Formats: sequence, structure tokens, C-alpha cells
Amino acid sequence: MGWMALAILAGLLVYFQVSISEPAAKKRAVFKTFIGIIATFLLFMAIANYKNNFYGENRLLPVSLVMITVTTFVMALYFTNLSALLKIGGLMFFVAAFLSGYGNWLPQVEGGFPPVEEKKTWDSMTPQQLADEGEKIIFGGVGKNKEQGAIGKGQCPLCHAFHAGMLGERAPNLAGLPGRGKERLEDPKYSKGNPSKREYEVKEAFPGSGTAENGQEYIAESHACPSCYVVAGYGVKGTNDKQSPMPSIHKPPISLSLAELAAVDTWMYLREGIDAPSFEEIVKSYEKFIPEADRPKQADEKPAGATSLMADGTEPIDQIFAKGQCISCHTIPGIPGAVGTIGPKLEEGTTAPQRIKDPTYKGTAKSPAEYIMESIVDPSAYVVKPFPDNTMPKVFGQKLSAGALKKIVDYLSQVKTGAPPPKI
Amino acid sequence: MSALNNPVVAVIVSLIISVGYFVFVDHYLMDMQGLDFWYLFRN
Amino acid sequence: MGLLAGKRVFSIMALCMMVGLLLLPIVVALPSLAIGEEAPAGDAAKKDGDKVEKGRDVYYKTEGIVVGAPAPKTVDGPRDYPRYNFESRVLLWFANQQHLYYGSFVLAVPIFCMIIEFMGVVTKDKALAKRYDQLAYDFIKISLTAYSLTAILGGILIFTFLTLYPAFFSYLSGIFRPVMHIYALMFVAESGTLYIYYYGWDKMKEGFLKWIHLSMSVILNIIGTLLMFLANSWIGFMMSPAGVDEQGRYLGNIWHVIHTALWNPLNLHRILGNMAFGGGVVAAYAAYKFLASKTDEDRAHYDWMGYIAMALGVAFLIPLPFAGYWLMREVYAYRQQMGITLMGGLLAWLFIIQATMIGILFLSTNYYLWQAMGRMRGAEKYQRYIKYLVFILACGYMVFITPHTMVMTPAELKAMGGQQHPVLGNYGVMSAKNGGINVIITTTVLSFVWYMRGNKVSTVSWAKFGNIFMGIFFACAYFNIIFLAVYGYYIPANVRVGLSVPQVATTLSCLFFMFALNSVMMKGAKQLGPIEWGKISARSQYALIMLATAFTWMMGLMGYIRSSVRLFWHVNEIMRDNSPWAYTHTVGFAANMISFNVLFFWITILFVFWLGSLGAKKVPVESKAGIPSGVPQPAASH
Repeated sequence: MGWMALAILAGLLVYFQVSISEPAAKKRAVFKTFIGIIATFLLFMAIANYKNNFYGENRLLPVSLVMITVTTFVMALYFTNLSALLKIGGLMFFVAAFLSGYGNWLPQVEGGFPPVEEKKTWDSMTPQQLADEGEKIIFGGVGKNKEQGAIGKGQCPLCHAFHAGMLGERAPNLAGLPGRGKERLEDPKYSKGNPSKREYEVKEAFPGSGTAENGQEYIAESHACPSCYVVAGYGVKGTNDKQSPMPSIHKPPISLSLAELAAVDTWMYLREGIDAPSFEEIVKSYEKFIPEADRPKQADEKPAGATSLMADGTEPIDQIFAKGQCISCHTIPGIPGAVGTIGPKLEEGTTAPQRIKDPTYKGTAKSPAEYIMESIVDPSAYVVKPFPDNTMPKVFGQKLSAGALKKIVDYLSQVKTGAPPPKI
Repeated sequence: MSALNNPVVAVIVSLIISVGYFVFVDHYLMDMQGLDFWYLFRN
Repeated sequence: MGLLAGKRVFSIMALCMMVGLLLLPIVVALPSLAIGEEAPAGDAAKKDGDKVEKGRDVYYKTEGIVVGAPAPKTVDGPRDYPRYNFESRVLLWFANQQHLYYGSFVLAVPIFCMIIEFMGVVTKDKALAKRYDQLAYDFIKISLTAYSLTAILGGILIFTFLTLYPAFFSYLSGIFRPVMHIYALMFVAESGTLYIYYYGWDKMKEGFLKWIHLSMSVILNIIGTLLMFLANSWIGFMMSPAGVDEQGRYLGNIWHVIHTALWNPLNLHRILGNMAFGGGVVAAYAAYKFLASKTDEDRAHYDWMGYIAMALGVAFLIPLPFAGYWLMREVYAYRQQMGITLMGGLLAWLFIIQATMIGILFLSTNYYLWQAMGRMRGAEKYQRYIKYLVFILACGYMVFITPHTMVMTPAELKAMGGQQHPVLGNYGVMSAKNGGINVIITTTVLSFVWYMRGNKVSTVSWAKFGNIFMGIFFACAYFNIIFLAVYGYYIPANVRVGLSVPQVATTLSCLFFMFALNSVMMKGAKQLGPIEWGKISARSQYALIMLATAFTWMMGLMGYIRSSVRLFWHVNEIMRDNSPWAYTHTVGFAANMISFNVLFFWITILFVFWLGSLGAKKVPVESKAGIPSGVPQPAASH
């Protein structure tokens, strides 16, 4: 189509050459058509650029607009009777080009496709479908279980490792769990059938619930009442393994429903090549340890928008610490429940400036605030002695919103050794 | 009125009114949100 | 005189009654539609309890009898999403945006007409009255062509919906069936009133008839506003559905469906937005005519027209952020998740663009005002101070648009998962950025004050004190804003938020007190020289065009934000979008698309203006030819 317009203009060029005899007028006419040809050329180039790159990641689209702007101004110079219109048009193209360019210059965020989410009918799923759901809950997606840092709404990989040989510093490695459950029942410390003999902080999931009788019930009890039995070496430090750092999974902030827990368990069986108990059996095992009133309702689940953040930054600071599970591992003065001992005590108002000055510090932070941020998003940049490296998950940069991170940094930088904790 | 048109007097009176007004506005509106001018030094 | 006044009152009352009678069936129909379906349902429920299915309203939580079908579960395919080899959503976006541009333009212009015509009627100065009247007539003339284009675009929009999103549209029209018919009927009424209003202008020029004419403009605007409210109820329903149960089944109460959580905030925001937008377009029209006109007389007229349109537009621009604040608050109240997606999540970068746009709008306004001082004799004394204002504005703007990164360096950003991360906690309520925008607005106020006193010298006895007080008040205001901005850097973010309140209070104090003080001081002031309309520089007119383009762009941007906050829902939480285009586009793509829409709108409307000028050129020729030829003819016949 562009060629036709060009051809007409070229034809006009020839026509003027032939028809106009007066040299001055001829020169002017030729000049005008020449300008016209250039302008048309620019215009069509701009349109072609626009058309070809409409869907692409190409950020040069506004260049088209700039070209059109130039075109209109050039034309305005020579077509004086339309010059106001052309100049106005040119200015508008320029403004639009500027704003488009600005939009393209900013970081490009695309809200991915929504999760395919038909109403889940848990009880009619095949074991494999159920296991896939379980994998999604644990790791955030099917087939992600070997990915470093993959984490779903269950948040299990924050503490547990799932494959043999992987590090399990904070919590037992869960490889081979279905078989191990039965062994644990025989542990004298478990005190099967006689919960009152237990030496743990909590004797029973709820009064009268009793202890597990089979492997699946053991798993269910561990989820519902982590402190009913603590694997040696994984208790909260200083309690002599009497208390577990793990939260009850059916309670906030994780709040998995019974059906979701069943899906998680099904995955645990199936990945080992073991036939899982039926959905009903698993749910039943959980009903034994979770009283009716404590069971989260499936219907309350809301689609969580395009991102899956642990905390979006609108919560009060103590909830951010709870939702991020920081409190499982760290002691944070002023935050209720934050008595973890797996990581260092967080008194960054005092410790951060010291650590930046530490000769072994290799990070990039220049200020305490930067240091705290770095410690959260890149925990290995500096590892506080005597704690081992690679214990803290490296996923918090993706799992906490900037607002939440900022609140954490603001709070922690106000915590000083020996001073009363800041107000929440 | 004529006294007010003396530049020096006018400047002084205006300064008193303006500064007073803004200090009042700042103080009152910050106070509503648990803030004040000395927040920085108290912490 | 008394008789005349009585007649006027009588005429207005009669007209109001007429309109009341016209609207009565609709008003009566609304509740009866609601009750009519509810009352028998109540009886039926008693008679055969389990035959009738009950549902719970998702928003109002009331029980109702299910009368509609559930929202269809669409699947990707030619049945639910027929398509061309192109993204259907983009086509719909385009059709929608064009219809909205023209729609808001034709809704806004009659409101201007009403205001200006009223000013013309009440003003004592006969010459000025005539000028106002002519201006109002010019306005309505522009909107007439645009009106038919609006209707055409509305038709295109409906066809686009029907052909590309049949499942969704049939669901929506199933629920809004009565509303859509009322809408269509009111559109007829709007057209009728508009045509009588326009073509009756000359006939109803004098005395009593003029008042009838004026009250017709009131009716026109009432109908237009109601039209928009009805259309808003559809988008309100899509964003925050009510009156249906969880499966999307209609529960028989049409008022609940219309009156959703976001309906009223949307209504207010759109009225104000339309007015500001209309002002911008008319100003651009005046600028175009100014630049294209050959005579001083024309230039004077269009200069004046541009000034009035700009002033009206800016007057409606100032309350717009407050309406926006209300809308935002209601969004947060309705679904916090939605608010977060807007302000801190996926769409937050678009708000950064919006901040830039706001800056551009104020800069253009200031520039226009400074240029406008050039047409005032006696305003020269202010000219040399303008460079300082430019400096202040530039500083404010720089601070305002600089994304604040005190904690996060780019390296850290990368460590946080790169650009995929919603990074915007930082940009939220920074007192420094608030300081920037407040400095800009305060400077705009200062420019306005200078413009208003440009060619005048106060004659009140306390003039000197007034001037000094004004200067010191402004100085203190600047100092206060900047002090609060700097102070904000030294206190933690959670308490820093509170500082924006006194900053805004300072700006508003300047606006109200200084405008009031200035107008008191300028009462009966001595004029140093006349305002020479038409002597304004050409550059100022480009500032107006810039203003109009930026307005259009911003409207497209905010509309996009409002629409895409639903993410992958046709109707939020009721009907999922299962088409291949359920994802949210990148900022860059959206910006390109908005630019395209804006340019398309302006190209078409410039074409409309140009068509208008073709018609107008003929008229003076005919009338000029008509009058002289009319005079000698009788002479020749004698």
C-alpha cells in the first residue's frame, strides 16, 4: 500500500517536471513532492515498525512515533495552509512518543496467566492428581520439587529437605517418611497409646485425641501437633528437644485445610512409589488430631491475585515476621513468639554496624539498613558465627513484597541490645 | 492601618501570623497521628 | 419585571414537571422491577419451600430468590471466544476507549455550555453577555458532530462485544436487561433534547424563552449524567459485583446490581474527570483555531475561549485527586487485595507514570499562565520573576519523578528476583515526593495569583501590608513543605506517612487563603492596562495542546488501570476470563496502546474540527454576500 502512495508521488514529480514551464514554480513543486516522498517514506517505515513489533518485546515502538513527529513537522514547513493542523498533530505525536517511551523504559512486569483453577473436587481426584496438588502446595508447582528455593503455600521447604543428601539443618529430612513413620511409633519416647507418659511440652493434639496408631496417623499428628513428639536434635534449642519449632500447619498463618494436607501426604507416598491411603482415610487420620472448630474452611480460600507472596507489606510488622516464618528460627525482641534459636538473635540496631566493619565481611552494604536487606535477600553474603551457611532460605527476596521488606528493615534497625524493643 | 503599611511592622506582623499559623497546623495535624517535631530526638 | 420573573419561575417549574413526568415511568419501574420479582417470590417460598432456590447476595449478604442463570463457565474456543487473527481484547480495548473519549467529551461540553450560558444570562454587561452566548453556542456546535460519532462508536462497541465476547455479553445483558432498555430510551431523550437545544438556540434568544432554553440545558445535563451513571453501573458490577449469588445468579433486586460498592465513587470520579477532559479538548480546539486564524478578531476570540476552557478544566482537575482518593479507599474497603494490586503490586508502575503525567499537567498549566501574562499590559513587572518559578518547579518535578531508592540499590533489586518483583513499597508515601508535588501545586497557585493581579494595582488602604503578608505567607509555606520533606528522611517510614497531611494542609491553605486575600485586595483595583486578547504567544497555545494531550493520555492510563485490576476476571470473583488474553500486559505494551488510542482520538477529532471549519468558512461568505446584496436590491427595485 505504501508503494502505491510513493508511486503516485513519484508520478507527480515527473508530471510537474513536464507540465510546469516556469522554472521557479517548477523548482518549488519538485521540492514539495520530494519532501512529500521523504515524509511518506518515513511514515510508512514508522507504520511498518509499529505493525511488526506490536506484540514483541521490542521497546523501539515509540521510535515510530518520533519518526511521525518529524514527518509532520517537515510537512508543516512546506504545506503552509495546513501548517497549524500539522504542527498540532506533530506535537501530539511527540507527547505520545515521550509517554510511550517512558512506559517502555520502566521495568516491564507482565501479570502471567492466572492459575488454572476450577473448583477443586478433592474427593474425586485420582491419587496422581491429588499428589500433583500436594506438590503444588509444598513447592508451588508440579515438578518443582528438585528446584532450589521452590516454595508453595505450605512453606514446608523453608525448613524441611525432601531428598536424600540434601541439607536438613532446621528440621528432619523427609525422604523415606512413609516408612519411617512406623518406626517412630515404636520409639519408647513416642509412648504409643499412652500420651500422658510423654515428656514433651504438649502431650496430646487436643485432650482425648490419643496417639497415632499407624504410619499415616503419625504423619497427621506431626502436622497437627508438632510438639507432641520431637525428633531428637530438632527441638527448640535450650528446651532439650521438648518443644518443636514447627508451627501447627492447620492454624494461621499457613492454614492448610484437611483436604490440602491429604494432598500433601499423598505426594509424600507416591513419590516413594508407595500406594497412598485413600483420600478419605487420610482426612480421617487428620480428623483424629484436629478438633472440628480448628479445621480451616476450604471455602474461605480466595484467589490470591497474580503473585504468591508470603506477606504483601500491609500487615503489621509482627504478622510479617510470623507469615515469613522468621520467628521459627530467630529470636526477635519485641515480637511475640519469636524465640527461635536456629539463626542469630536479631538486634540489628547494634550488630549490623559491627558486622559491616568486620574484616571478613565481603558484602556490598554500606549502611545498617542495606546490611539488613542484604542479609534477607542474600543470606550467604555474610554468615554470623557460629551459625552454618545455607541454613536460611534464599527465597525471601521473591516471597516478601518490597513494602514488607522495608517494614522488616525499619523494625530491625531499631532493635538495639540492652534497649527496650521498639513499639510495633 | 498606616502603622501596618510601614514595611518593618508589616514584615514582623506577617511573620508572626504565618509562622504561628504553620506551626499550629503542623503541630495539630502531626499530633493527630502520634507525631511531633521532636520525634527524631526522642528516638 | 415582577411578571417576567414570575413567568421565568413558572416556565422552569413547568419544564421540571415535564421532565419529572418523563422520568416517572423509569423511577416507578425501578423499584417495581426489584419488588415485583421479590414479592411473589416471598409467597412462593412459603408455599413450596424447597422448590424455589435461594441464594445469598455476594455483597449485600441478603437472601434472594434465584431468578437468573449462573455465570457461564467459558472455555477457550470459537464458541465462547470467537476471534479474528488478532487479540480480541485489544480490539475491545480500542473500541471501548474511543467510545469513552467521545462519550465523556459530549457529556462534558453541555455542562460547560450550561455554565457559560448561565453566565451570559446573568451578566449585566451586554457585550460580554453576547460573547458568552456565542461561546456556549460554539461549544455545543463542536459537540454535535462528536455526539453522532459517540453513538456510532457505541454501536461498534456493542458489535465488538457481541461478536468477540458473546458468552460474557449475554450474561451481562441478562442481568442488566431492564437497565439496558432504560439506557437506550434515555439515549433517545438525550438526542431529542440536544437537537432542540441546538437548533432552538436562535429562536429562543430573548427574555422568557432564553430561560426555557437555559433550563433545557439543565435537563440535557441531568439526562446525560443519568446515562453515564447507568453505564457506570455495568463497570461497577464487573469490578465489585453485587445482587448476584456466588455462582453469579441474579437474585431479583436490580437496585443491588446497580448500586455496587464502587458505583458512587466511580460516578463522582468520572463526572470530574469528564469535565477536566472536556475542558482540555475545548482548549485544544481553541488553540487550533487560534493558530489557524488569519484575523486579529478571530485570534482574540479563540484566545479568550482557550483561556475559559483551560480555567474550567483546571478547576475540575483540582478536586479530582480527592475523588480518586475516595475511590481508592472504597476499593481497599471492598477488597484489600485489589487495592494492593493497584498501588503496591502489579499495576503500581502505572501509578509512577501517572505521577509524571500530573507533573506535566501542572507544568503546562504554569507555562500557559506565564505566557498569558504576555497579553496583559502592566504585567511586565512579574515577567522577570518567572525564571525563579521555573527553577522551583523544575526542582519540585525532579524530586517528584525520581524513583526513591534509599534502601534498594539496583544490585539488590536484581537479587530480589529482578523486575518480576512488586518493588514499589518504596515509592508509596514518600514524604520527599509529597514535598515535590506540593511545591509544584503551590507554585501553580502562585502563578494563578500573579496572573489574576497581573494588570492591576490594589487600591485598598492596607495594600502594602497585604502584599508583604502574601509574600511572607508563600515563603513560609514553601519552607514548611520542604522542612517536612527533609524531616521525613530522618524518621522511620511507618511514622513518616503522617507528614503528608500537614504538607497537603499547607498547600490547600495557600490555595484558599491566598485566592481569597487576592480577590479582596483586587476589588475595585486600578487597571494598569487592558488585557489584549489575541496577543498571546503561539507557544502558549501549544501548551494548551500539550495539556489536552496529556489529559487524554492520563484518562486512557487510568481507565486501563481501572479495567485491568480485575486481572483474570470478566466479573470479579464471579466469572472467569478463560480466553487466551486473561493475562495482564506489560507496562510498555499498555503505554503503546494508550498512545495509539490517544493519537487515533486526536486525529479523528482534529478531522471533526476541520470539517467544522469547512462549514464555518462558508457561513461568513454567504452572510457577507447576503447582507450587501440584500441592501441594494430594494434600492434597485425602487
